Amino acid sequence: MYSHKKCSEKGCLYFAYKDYDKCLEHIENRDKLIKEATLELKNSDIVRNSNLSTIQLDSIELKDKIIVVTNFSNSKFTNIDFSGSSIIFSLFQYSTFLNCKFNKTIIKYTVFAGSTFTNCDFPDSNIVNSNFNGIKGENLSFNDSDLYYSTFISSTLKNVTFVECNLKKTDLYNSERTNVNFKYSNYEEALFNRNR
Amino acid sequence: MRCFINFSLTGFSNSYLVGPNEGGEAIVIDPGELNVKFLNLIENNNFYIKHILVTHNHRAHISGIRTLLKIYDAEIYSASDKIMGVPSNIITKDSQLNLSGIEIKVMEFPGHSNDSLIYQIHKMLFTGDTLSAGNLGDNDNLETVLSLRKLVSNRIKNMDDSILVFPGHGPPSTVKAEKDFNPELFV
Repeated sequence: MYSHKKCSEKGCLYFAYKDYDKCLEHIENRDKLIKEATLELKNSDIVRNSNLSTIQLDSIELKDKIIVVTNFSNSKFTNIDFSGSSIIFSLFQYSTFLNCKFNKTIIKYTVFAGSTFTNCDFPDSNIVNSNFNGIKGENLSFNDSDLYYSTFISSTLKNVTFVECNLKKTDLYNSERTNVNFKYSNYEEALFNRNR
Repeated sequence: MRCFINFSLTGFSNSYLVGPNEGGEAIVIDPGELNVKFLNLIENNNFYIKHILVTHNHRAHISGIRTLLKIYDAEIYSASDKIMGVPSNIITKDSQLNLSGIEIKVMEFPGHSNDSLIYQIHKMLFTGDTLSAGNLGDNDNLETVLSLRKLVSNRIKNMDDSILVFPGHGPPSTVKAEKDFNPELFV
């Protein structure tokens, strides 16, 4: 497992970056470390057991990667292409995703809770047992994806399409939905209410 | 410390495997099913199962126990005296266990069932059906649900935000995400 060490900066609630004592927000040579991590991510096929929380990545291709047990909490992803990647048992909570592509990705047992997604696509993906609770999503497409047992509880979704999706056990309880399209999906097998 | 997850089609539940980085004596939590994938996970990481922790005595979380015991000489720990007809070490109160050098905090959470327990190992919380991502365990009795809601809310508010939540069904979560987005808590 990645380290759970907290940033040593007083009052900071983020995880410390890699083996450092502080998160990237509070490390002095932050830009250099981000450049190094970007290169490392681009050149590695497999990213495993790493703590890359608070990283900021811009305009890079992370296609066909295997990302396992990696912590990207409180990070920022702009114009990142994750297409064809497998993201398993990882943490992306409280992150920001802007113009990101997740075409044909496999996402399992991964936590995106509290993240903000804007203009992102997840078409033809296998997104199983993943946690999108409390996300704020605008202009998103999950078309042709399997969302079995994934949760969008307490999320805010605007202009989002779930066309031709498997929504069995997908939990959208307490979500706020504006212009959300479930066309041709088994939305009757999704959960919108609690019988209590 | 390493933790692996295995999805079981029996009851659509999650089983967990926890053991040291270098392999050796390990713990299985809620063996819903012992399928080939799970067995490979154990063997390929050089683990030997010595301990089985049960969060509660429901089939979706225990159906793999008999098969597991045919392969490994393991002890069961739960709030019941028998699980699937096999004797279990009874843990009924909040307590601390040390199994093969792994410290485990045991927490009693009656609600979803009378025998529900939560186990904390390092920064990982194995919650069974008591707490899942954005939800709490079901019970037909509304009063019991309200009491569970209060109990979980009271206990989770003092927990470290970075603790990972590994439930018996559905996706993982974190204590912070549950505090922020679980509509069943703090109401």
